[in-house]
Amino acid sequence: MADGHPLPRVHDDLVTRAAAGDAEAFRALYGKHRRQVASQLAFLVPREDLEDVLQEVFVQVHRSLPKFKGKSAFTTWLYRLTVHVAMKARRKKGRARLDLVEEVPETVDTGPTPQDRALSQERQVRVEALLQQLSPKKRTVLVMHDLRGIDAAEIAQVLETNILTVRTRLFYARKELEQLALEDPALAEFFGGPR
Amino acid sequence: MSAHLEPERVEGLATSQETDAHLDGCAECRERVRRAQGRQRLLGGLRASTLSDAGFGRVEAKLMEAIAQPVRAPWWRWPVLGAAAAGLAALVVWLQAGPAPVPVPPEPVAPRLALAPVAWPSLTVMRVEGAGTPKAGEVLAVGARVEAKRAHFADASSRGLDVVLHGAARFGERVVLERGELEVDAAGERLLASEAGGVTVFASDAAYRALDEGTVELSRGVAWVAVGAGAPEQLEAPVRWSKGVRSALGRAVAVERLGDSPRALFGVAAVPGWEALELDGVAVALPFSGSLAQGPHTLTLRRGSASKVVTVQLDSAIAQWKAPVLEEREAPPPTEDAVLAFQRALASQKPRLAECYEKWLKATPDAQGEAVLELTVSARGTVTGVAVTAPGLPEGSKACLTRTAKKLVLPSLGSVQTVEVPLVLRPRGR
Repeated sequence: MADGHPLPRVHDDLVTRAAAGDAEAFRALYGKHRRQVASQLAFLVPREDLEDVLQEVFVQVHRSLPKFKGKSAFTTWLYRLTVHVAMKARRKKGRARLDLVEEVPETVDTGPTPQDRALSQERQVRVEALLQQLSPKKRTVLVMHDLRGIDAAEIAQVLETNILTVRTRLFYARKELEQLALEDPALAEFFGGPR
Repeated sequence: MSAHLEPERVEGLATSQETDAHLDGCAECRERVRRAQGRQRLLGGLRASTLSDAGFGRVEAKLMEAIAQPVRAPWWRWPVLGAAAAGLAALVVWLQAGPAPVPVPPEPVAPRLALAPVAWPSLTVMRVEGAGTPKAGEVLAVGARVEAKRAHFADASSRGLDVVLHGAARFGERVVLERGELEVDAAGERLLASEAGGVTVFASDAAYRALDEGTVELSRGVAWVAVGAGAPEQLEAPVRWSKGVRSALGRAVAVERLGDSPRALFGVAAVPGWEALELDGVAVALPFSGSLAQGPHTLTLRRGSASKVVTVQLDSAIAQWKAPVLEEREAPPPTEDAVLAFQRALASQKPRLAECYEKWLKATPDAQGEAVLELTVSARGTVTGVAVTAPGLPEGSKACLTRTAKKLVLPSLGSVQTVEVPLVLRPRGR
């Protein structure tokens, strides 16, 4: 998380104007970063809550912008805020699934194609449900590290904790996820359980 | 050499085709690598979801609505509560200069308009004044009927279309304007097709009023009118068109152009001492918040037969206004006839309350006890408040009694009264 990167002028201007209470600048800021934030929220919050939490992130952005001093890049600041809001987000009861679309991956790994690797819809739902059974702290570390590929040191910075804590949470999160998957007949095979 | 592989090494081996000699002699390490491979396969196959354009549009609408609200101070700093504590009935109005609801993008209106049935986009509710349904942020369902003093919709995904309705309309493939006026702002070639009185009006960047008898009053922009499937006829504002006959527009259509007038964010937290509030003749639910044109507005406070009309001047500054205190006169005692009618109505509805006890009895066979309901009954006979005093009664039963009591249908006692209803809860015959 490098501080002090010069920001593009237009970006600077947008953030400054939004911080000064310019509603249209804030709307533009939302338009510019909404996809990035929604993408960061994936798996951190249940998909049914994505819309609400995205809104909450930007409400917090609106409240906190006047305190943003530009010591880090705006995107870095926004990412931290997103993760923190996601960790505090409370489950909504009885929400209908809203119209969500799958993200198109920007890059494709070598090796198996995404189609080959893709879980069935049912498994996808089950794995997402497992993730939601983890505590917010464990889930956040697991998603950031194992799904997003962010290293432990960077996670520690975002979460404002130390690397040892991150590693400990990751260890227990993985263990818990494996245990939960082994208890699910549709997922047990991933860990050598009965098919 | 450590007894086991480091976690990073386990993850690395799970990812790559690489092997490690250590694995040959460490069964536990092999098991850890196998599990890591399973986890990587499990998580690697996940597909992230994101929102659709409409979803992002809804969030934008709700967000802009949310940030337009004044930040509510902690309750102990609310002037209204302070005043209430001092025994004053107060109504607090915050005025704040608010942004125009949705500025129209600056693109010019396309000179060429295709008069074809429009592929109508889903409209997101940006703001509603009046009845309050639907709510800001909702997407209008096909065929939804909206009746509002002023409702503003936008094609939130592209922000190319703004529609303001004053009155009632049904939003389907075309908009059926049942009453009132419609304003359309389209930044592209989109047209709004609305129907009223057998006349179809196509418009883009226009303000018009369509009357039931098939008359169109166009106060701004250009519109086309067509009777049935006939050829459309072009109209330029200002004009009144009725069955093919044009005449001067005798009255200005009272449709504000978006962003033309300065607006104020208007909020009402509570009206202590009063039962209801109307804003410009429309009942509003509290707390209320909305964007209004600056200028005078009429607030009507009501309680029973008492009412008070106050005109407030909305300016750009933040202001606080105290409502006139409702003179609390001692309520006259209800007449004997009214009391008898009330008691009869209450007695006839006690079986409804008994159902709560029966539920308790099913769960706990020896359940019994006593309860006192304190009902606040409005002058019209509506139960506006319920307090249950019942030591030993389960919370579920208390909640049931409260819910049921609020639904009691009671006759008027002539004024607001508080009535105590004692209940003895025990099985029959004991």
